[in-house]
Amino acid sequence: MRLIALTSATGGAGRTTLCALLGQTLARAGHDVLLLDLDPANLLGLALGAGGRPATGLVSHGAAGRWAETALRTSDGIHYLPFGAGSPTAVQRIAEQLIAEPLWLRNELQRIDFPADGLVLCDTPRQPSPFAAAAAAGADLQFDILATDVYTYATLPAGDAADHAHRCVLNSFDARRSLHGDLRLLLEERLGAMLCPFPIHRDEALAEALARDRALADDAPDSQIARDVDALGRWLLDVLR
Amino acid sequence: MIAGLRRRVAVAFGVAPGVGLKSWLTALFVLPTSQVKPLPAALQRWLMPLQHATAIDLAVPAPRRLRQWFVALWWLSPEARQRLTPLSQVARALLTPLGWPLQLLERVLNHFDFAPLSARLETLATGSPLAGPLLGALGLVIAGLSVVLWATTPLSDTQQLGLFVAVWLFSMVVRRLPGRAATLLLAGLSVLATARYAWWRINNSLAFEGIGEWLFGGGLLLAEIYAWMILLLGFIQNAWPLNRKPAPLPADVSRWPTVDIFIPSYNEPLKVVKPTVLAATSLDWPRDKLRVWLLDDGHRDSFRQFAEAAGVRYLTRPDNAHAKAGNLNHALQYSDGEFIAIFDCDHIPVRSFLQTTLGWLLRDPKCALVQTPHHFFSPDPFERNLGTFRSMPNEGSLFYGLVQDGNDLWNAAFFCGSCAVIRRAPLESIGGIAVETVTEDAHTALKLHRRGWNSVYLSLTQAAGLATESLASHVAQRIRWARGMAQIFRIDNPLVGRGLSLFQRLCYANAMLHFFYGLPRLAFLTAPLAYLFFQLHIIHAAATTLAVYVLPHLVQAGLANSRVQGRFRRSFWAEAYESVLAWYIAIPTTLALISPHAGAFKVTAKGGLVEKPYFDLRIALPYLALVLLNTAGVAIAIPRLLYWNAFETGTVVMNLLWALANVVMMGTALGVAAETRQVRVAHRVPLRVPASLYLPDGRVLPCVTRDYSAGGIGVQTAGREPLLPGTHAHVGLRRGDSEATFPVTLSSVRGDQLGLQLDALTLDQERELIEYTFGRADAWLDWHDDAEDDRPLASLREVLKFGLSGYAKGLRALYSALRSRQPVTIG
Repeated sequence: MRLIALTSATGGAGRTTLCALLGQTLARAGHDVLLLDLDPANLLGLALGAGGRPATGLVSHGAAGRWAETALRTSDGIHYLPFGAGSPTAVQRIAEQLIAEPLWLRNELQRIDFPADGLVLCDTPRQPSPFAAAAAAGADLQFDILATDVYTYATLPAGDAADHAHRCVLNSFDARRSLHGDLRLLLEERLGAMLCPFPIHRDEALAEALARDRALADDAPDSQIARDVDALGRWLLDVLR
Repeated sequence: MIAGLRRRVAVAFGVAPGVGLKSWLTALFVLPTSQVKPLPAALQRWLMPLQHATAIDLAVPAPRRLRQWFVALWWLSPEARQRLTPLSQVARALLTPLGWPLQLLERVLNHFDFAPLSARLETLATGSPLAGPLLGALGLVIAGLSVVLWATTPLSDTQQLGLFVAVWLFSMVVRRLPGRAATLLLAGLSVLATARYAWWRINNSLAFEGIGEWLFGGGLLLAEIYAWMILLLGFIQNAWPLNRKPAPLPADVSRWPTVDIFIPSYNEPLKVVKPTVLAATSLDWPRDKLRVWLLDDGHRDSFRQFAEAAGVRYLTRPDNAHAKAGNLNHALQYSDGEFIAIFDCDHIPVRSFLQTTLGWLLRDPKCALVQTPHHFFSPDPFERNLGTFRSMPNEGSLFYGLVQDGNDLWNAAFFCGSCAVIRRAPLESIGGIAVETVTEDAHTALKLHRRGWNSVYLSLTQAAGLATESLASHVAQRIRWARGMAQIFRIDNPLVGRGLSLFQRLCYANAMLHFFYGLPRLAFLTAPLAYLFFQLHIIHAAATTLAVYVLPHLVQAGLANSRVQGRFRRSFWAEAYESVLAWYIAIPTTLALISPHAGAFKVTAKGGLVEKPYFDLRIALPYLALVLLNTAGVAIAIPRLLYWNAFETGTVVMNLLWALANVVMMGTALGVAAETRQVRVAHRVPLRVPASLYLPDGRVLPCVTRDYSAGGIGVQTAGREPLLPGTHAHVGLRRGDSEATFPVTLSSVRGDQLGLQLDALTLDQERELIEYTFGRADAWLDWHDDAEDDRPLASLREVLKFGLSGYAKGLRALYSALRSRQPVTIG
């Protein structure tokens, strides 16, 4: 099992959406994929087209170690473990558990019957957060989703290319905007090989697919974003190798 | 009285009074209906069915009209072609036995694996003790003596024929061996065959009677001597091209030198110059070490403003003395970069130009010049009018693909006026760019070589531009080159004077002598007429004897040249190119030899457009004259063959074949003179890179570019989105991983093929567009990938085809020009 934690330091960078999209493209490419929603907002299901937010999940069953009972399976064959709807106390209990034992998440995952070369993509809340920290601590790869805006530049991750377990990608990129082009150049300079060499374009096709409640690969297979996500999936596999 | 006469002639010819010249011309060939007499009944009974059957076979729609027959003879309709298939199969079956021995030989040779033999030959050649200077000289002397011995040994005609067959068979085997040793061997065999022919020709075939034979015979002999010399010099120059690779630059960028980029312009429009200047400012080089100069001899305010906006320096001068050379020298005084890169204002450099070329200049402190090829992304008049663009090496391929690389082996690669870098110090030491001749470039390089500086040629396309637009401007350009080279030959002859090595002298001499082909080619194009018209025996030998000597020379030279230069110029195309230009080159080169400074210098016009097809009668007049003369020769040959000269059939047949070959060659020239219409001003350059189309509704479509031009981009989408022409969008182009977008309007939608017309761009956007299109480092890399080995016989067939279709095209163009009463020539 290889664990990828999707994180970011700003809100609305696109973690949840990319988590779902990456899960779909990797599953279609024949990989075993488990999507783990570690964000109390519990939104990953919507991005997957589940039509609602599952009530049960990590927050209700996680502490008891009964993960498999709450896992769902999408029509694409993706395993999906929702966060679930929990009271603030329940959420806080999980958070405290993660702070106390940062590797708890990984250990629990390893107890699941999941293929050794399977991929676990973990959606997290905006950093700093105990959930994001725990996901990053246990991950084989921390994958930062960077929104193309000025806040991103101010909150850049402090890693460097030598850190093999940390990568970034620029999301919602619009090549027509000169600010986007400038930001991209700055980020390439600062992050070097840490940054995925191509950005994910902002493409209306994504919003349309979500509105139609269809997987992007079915709704707009020839859209730029579908191509970008496919390429991103291949790039991630390459990095993990 | 004249009016009365004219009326009577008009009545006799059946021409209505007061009509134009055309009706008169028609009347010369076509009887008016009132005067048509029916054929004798018996004849008609025979002829009508024959005509009927032929008309059906050839699919002539209206058999009564002569023009329909003419059209049908040149353009077979598909149905006619189908009907004729059995006929052509019969013809092929009859012709095949002729080529059969050759095919058999090739088939036998196919059974052998020549690789080990070739490898052994190669080690023998490269590891030979003859590589040392002393032994090498000894080897040269021995080789020279054996050539003399070989050439002078007398043989009977039969023995000579036997020798030829043996040498030819040997060559057919050697041809199969890859590698340079085999190439040298083929060239050697060709030299032997030519030496034998030359010895025989001079000793046994010269016996002139009367002034006519002296004139024609002497002329032909001189032309042949010229051809032998060019053949030999060509082998020396081209048999072992150096094919140098670029040298790397120092890793420490602070050690990279300062470079001035000179872009001279005289009368070219700004839209031609703009891309070049913008590309020059985007070259990959430290910004503080790169200065771009726009050198405007046209004194134009629009150029000054553009230079200011583009951030380049602008220079103009009070007089335009010495044209381009003077313009460059003027700029030398104002600039101080260690190196100078020169681009013609329509040669757009790619971004890697300086990094590719400067390496050798830094590695070798005695290197004064690095030259790269001139590449054209639009078809030249040959390619456009014959339809051979990108399907065949063009006229320039030989020079930039082989000759300069061959020169480079002997440290004799020379400056070609553009796409080159020169070291400032040596250039200033020879007084700047040479101004004495109209080919300042080659002369400057000669002066540098004389002072012991080295030159480098890199056969990597690092810039591209527009080819000459029309045959007229092409001819004008070649006249200038030929004149300039003749001038240098006259005033600063490379064969004499100080500072050059023997082989540098030979390479330069060949470069200049090459342009003297005008008179010799005209001699070959008219030689058979001396006999056919006047019964002059300009070669005093039996046709069979001549054949057994001249054929080995021609065949071996053909085989060797096909091997040495076939990838860059197909067999028989040199003859075609020369036939087109010979007439125009002949006079200026001769004049320049006599009086080097007579005549004026004309700048080649570029960026124009042939808006409708026309026949350039003024350019084609000499071709028509040569065609008529040779056709008349062919016509006369028939009674000579049958009656008048039946006692020397061999001679008649030889001259007849020669005149026929000339007629075919001139057909190519006519084909080139019939200018095909050019569809766009902006030439399309193929490019396949991923791109994105940003639609106004926020969707982004991935696509792949197909081509680009100065005004637009063609892309191919995945093809599922309904798109409307007229939509405003942006296209994002990629270079490596970076992307730049440009505003476009969808101008055409054909299935998944979209035509995107570029909207108005800011100067920065224009610069970026150049960086993503013409300035890409990989823009021209795969342009020559499809170069194939030469197949002499296939090439012969091709030249014949172009020759014949040249007549069809030329006559059609002439006909439509006459009919539409448009002016036949355009400036």
